[in-house]
Amino acid sequence: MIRYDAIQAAYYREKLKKRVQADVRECYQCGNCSASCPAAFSFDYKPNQLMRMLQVGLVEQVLDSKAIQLCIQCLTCSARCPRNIDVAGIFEDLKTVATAQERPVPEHAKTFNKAFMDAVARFGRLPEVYMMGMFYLGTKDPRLALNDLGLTLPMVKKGKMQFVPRRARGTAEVARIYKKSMHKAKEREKAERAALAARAATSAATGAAAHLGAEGGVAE
Amino acid sequence: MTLAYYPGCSLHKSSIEFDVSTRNLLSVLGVEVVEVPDWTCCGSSPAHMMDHLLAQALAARNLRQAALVGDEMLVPCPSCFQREKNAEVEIHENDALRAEVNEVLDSPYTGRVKVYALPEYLYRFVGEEKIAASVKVDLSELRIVPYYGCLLGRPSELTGEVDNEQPMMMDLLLQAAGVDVKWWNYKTECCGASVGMPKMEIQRRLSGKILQQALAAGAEAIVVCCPLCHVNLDLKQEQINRFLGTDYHVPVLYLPQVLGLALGLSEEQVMLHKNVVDPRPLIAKAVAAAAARRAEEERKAAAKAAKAAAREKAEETVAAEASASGDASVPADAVVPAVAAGPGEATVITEGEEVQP
Repeated sequence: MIRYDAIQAAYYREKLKKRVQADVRECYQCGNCSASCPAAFSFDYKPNQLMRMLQVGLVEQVLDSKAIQLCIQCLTCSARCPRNIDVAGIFEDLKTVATAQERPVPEHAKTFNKAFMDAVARFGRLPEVYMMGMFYLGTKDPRLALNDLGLTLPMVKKGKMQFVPRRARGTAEVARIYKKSMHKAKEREKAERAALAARAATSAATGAAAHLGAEGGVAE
Repeated sequence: MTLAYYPGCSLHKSSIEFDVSTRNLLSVLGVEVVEVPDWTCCGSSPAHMMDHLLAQALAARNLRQAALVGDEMLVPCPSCFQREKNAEVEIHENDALRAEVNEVLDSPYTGRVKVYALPEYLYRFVGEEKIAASVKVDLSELRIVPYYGCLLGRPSELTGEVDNEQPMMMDLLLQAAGVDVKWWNYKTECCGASVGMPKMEIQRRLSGKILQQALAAGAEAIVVCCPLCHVNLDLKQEQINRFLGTDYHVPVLYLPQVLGLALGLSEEQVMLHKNVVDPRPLIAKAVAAAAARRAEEERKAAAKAAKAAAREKAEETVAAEASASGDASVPADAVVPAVAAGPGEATVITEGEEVQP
């Protein structure tokens, strides 16, 4: 049985309204986003399904979905939404939530992001070859590396590969920005989850009437 | 006021031809740029997927560095452009966010740097007229489709385009440079972007569709303005062919490469040798075809001029005979309509005569 969670739904709705200026309740399920999405064929849930899941509070499933990780951020859904909902913005924000909660993210997306940002924090500018190497190591899947091995030859021939990365001036600051921001994000997430748990506890204690009251309070 | 130039990581090495052709094009057009001192990665594209503050702070650091040079920053790479523009808009509007960003920066960003993408800058501050007036090489036989991808069209409030679905700046710039721009419906379809790394299938299918549609539109090359689109369409074309069982061989050029060629830059100056699918035979063919067509047109024009001269001479003789034999009291202007009507009739007759034998 699917359990809808009104408190969770209200909590994330409020959060997304604040952070992305988008209200999931405004979605009326026309499906334009799914029809326009170039990557939807590879998703476990289509964009309009994700919007519905957010409306009813199936947030955990959304955060663990392949879909938000495979979203390319091409912004077509946001551009075509007749209700002007920033769908891609919502997915982007939920991706950051999944990161802050340190969820095991499907489809190597986390590996890619981590390989990329670690490399940038180390060298200031993106050392492409180094990053690719770290990514392939991180995936622990030699097929990925082998698949792209064919690309190295033309890159080398065209002199487009920098094998020895050089550290840019300003790297130290970039590393500090990375560390401070991610630390803050985790702290913020912890505090928010604690608040959410507290809210759920009070509503469970006071029963269904307070439950509705909590929803009404959020809508203000 | 100096224009700050933010190349970004891709242009630094793997898309060096985009960087060099952009700088050379700007210098031909008389736009002076100064590289942002000690710029670092803008964080695209993982940073904004990981944390909002991280993304804005990494971008804000570059805005702060650009402010040392001037209060306008040109960002040719659309991924970098989106991050920097996003940070510009949010930070300049929201003082609370600026304070939060400044907390994680070593020294605060207090400026108001405006960020521009390359097509927008060329369109708004250089202009079609100037480009059209500077054309040196006839590329009217180069049939291309401009491919904007996601980030040069969407969202139009950021990119300066009029419409999300039909961006026009690259079309208009290329047309001004005399290139044969084809119309197609895949201008803003996604090429697969960096999902090409974790999930290859998406990128291969999407990029394959773009190559197919470009050919269907009657183009022989695709013009892009994004290093990631270029990697996906150019470097990975061979992979796409293997995956889809196709045999595409479509050169993918950068916008400043094509504009630069039209404005008289050499193939070396726009680094055509760096593109993986070699565009040089196509460019040579287009230039030769344009020259041949021009020669043919000149030959026809010369023939026509010779014919017209012969006709004029004949008419002059007729007019002279008429005025010699005509009454002296006839006013001069009465003769003029007769002469003016002459050429039209004469053309019909000569053409008729030509067709007859």
